[in-house]
Amino acid sequence: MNDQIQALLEGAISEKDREALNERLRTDAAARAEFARQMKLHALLTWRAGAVPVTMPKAKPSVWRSTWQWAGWAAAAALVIGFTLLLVSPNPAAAAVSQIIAAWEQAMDRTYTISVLAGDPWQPLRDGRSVGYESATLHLRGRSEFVLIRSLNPGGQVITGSDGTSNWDIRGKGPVRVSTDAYRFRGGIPGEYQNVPFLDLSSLFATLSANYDLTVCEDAADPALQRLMAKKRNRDQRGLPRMEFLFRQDSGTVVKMELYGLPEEKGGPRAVSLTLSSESAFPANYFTHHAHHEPEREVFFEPAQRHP
Amino acid sequence: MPDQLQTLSPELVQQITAAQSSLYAFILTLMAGQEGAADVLQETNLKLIRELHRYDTSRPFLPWAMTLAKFAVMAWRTRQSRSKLVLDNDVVGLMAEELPDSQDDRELAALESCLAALPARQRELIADRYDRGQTVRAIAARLGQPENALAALLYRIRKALHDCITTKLAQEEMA
Repeated sequence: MNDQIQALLEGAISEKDREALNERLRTDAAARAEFARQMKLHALLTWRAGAVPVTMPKAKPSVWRSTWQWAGWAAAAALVIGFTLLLVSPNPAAAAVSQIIAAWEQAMDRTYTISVLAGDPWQPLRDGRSVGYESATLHLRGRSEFVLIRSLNPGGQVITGSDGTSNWDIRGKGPVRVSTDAYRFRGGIPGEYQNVPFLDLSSLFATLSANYDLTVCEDAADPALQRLMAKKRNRDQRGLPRMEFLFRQDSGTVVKMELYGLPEEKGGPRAVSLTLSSESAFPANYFTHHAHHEPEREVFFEPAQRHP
Repeated sequence: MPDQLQTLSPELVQQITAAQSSLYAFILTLMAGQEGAADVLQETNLKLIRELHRYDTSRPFLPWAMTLAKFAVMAWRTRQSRSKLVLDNDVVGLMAEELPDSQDDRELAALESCLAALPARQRELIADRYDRGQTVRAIAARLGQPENALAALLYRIRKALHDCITTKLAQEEMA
């Protein structure tokens, strides 16, 4: 039965195996328990990986486009849950999380400007140069497209991005490197390797309550803003030790994120803030590498990476 | 609807939030891992909100929520063509009856520490399969290993994680 379950999890079960699996489950209680056990672990791992959108109507674009009825249901679910938490919950952290998720999922193009709060603003590169985080900009679109622009010392810029299909990196006047590896070139985004996926902040929040203590309060400087503070309960768990999110009370829009406890091994910042600096729309092709270099620049397509 | 919303207690709001991963696991099991479990969870959440006034707060929340989730799965099944369904109706009925109640989001917390205790290579394999969403076939091809051997290893890792979670939750219960 394990082979059949494995085929099922990979979406490749044959009709013959499907029938055999049903017969086994129909007649064998122990097999049903085993099936449930394996499916549950698969579900928890999928959930933990953030691959399950919870309250976001735009999470399934194909469904959204193809079936208005489904879209209506999904949108209604998001609104009902979001507003329910907002209106009636004396648990302000839960309400804040719901509101931020809803706003993040609805967000169009936006730009965050990075400031270094602690540590070295410059992070050394292997080739002797260094890359700067102070005043770097992170442009976001949807759940998979980004452009991160950082300074390069002794001169130029490091521009890293993804158009949702491939990731790419341009260092100074060097060649454009392109990879279809989903994680390639993402290390430059603060917190990305510490389980802080800016592109998929909804997933982060969906699992945040499991590992972090969440509190929310009004911002002392601006009553229109609220501050959601997340502090990790157990230092052995993955993720940054502390994160804070400043968001608009009326819309849930995250206007500032502060990340503390970035890893020190490779130098560079130990704490950064990302402040919403623009919500202007970018050109359609802005998140492709073509928009960031001259046409004659050499483009190098990397082979698939072997992970250690 | 607004009147119903106003009567929601903070405990119920927290219970809905905490039940999300367990409901997803329940739904995914009844759907045999087929695509669409997230949509069915959305629909279940909507039903939960709409039906909360019927919930008897003296009884455990999760079994009640799972009943609504089961109805949502059945509704999803009626929208699918028969040839696309993996499990037969009677098998789904049996599974729904027998699935044990979950432990809310405590399971996720236990999973986190169990993952941390895995050997690095196994942790990386789980990251490839789930965090990076790669298929077993793709991982096997990249690592140059037989697909069935890798699938068997993943099975053993998942089993070890399940045992670890069960042990941790049992320890929590006794503490």
